[in-house]
Amino acid sequence: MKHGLLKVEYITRDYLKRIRNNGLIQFLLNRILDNSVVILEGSLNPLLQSELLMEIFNYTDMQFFGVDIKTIKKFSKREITIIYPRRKDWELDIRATIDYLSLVVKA
Amino acid sequence: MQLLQRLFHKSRKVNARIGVFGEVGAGKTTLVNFITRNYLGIDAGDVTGIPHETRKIKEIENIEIRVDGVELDISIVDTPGIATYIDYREFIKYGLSEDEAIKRAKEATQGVIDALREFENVDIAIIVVDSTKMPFSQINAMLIGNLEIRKIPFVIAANKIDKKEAKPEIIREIFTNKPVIPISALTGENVDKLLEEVAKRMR
Repeated sequence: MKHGLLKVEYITRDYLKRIRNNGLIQFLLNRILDNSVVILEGSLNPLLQSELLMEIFNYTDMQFFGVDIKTIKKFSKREITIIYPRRKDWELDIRATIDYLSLVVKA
Repeated sequence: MQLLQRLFHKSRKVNARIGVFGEVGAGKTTLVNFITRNYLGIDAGDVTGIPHETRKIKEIENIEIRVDGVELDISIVDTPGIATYIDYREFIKYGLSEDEAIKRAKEATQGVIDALREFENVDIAIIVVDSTKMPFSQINAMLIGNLEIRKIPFVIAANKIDKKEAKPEIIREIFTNKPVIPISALTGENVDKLLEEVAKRMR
């Protein structure tokens, strides 16, 4: 896992559809382990969410604690889901209203 | 059929494995303890107030409960609390040493994986929700969604109604069209009603 670098990736609904049946869990896992905040258009099916969590917990340690998942139902008239790593060295503060989203990293 | 059972004083016996799921600190073990204490005279697990006290799945078998003339032979499965992350530093706040906290975090992590796998092994589920907190968490949504997709019947126990700040009505509003029973696992209030709802879904 790379330290000191945080990336934000926005995954559109169309891109999500393309990878949904072809290694979506691995796709998300790779990004989270690479310190990416993943913003998905839409939401993750509950089965996929639990599968993702089980995978993630295989990689947790004293630096990487897991993830936080937040679904915002009506962000700019669409649903988005934010998945971000919880780490020892930084915390992410997410503030969202229906038309405003801010991600603040506290290192 | 029910009339015949009554006439011959014969009860139908139903066996089921009931999984108790929920977020960390929702009161799962307190609920399981209340049930096992009442029917078997034993406690299933410790309740200390430190998060992730239950880190291994515990199954208590052969609990015989009679609800509305139906004899239920149930196993109750107390599962570790589900979380999306486990920060070992949280445990240090409760007086654990760093080594103890790290060990607990590792065990709790495995516990979450085991709890999520346990969906596959239960016939019915009780989802315990802390009614003193806002209930629409990502975890509760994931739990309910998993059970619905797998077609596993469930009842939501809106727990901690013994506390002043409890708002079980909010849980009812949010989970409209889903069975919600306000309970206190601590005092046992409405636990009988919860078991009746569970029994209805076992027939």
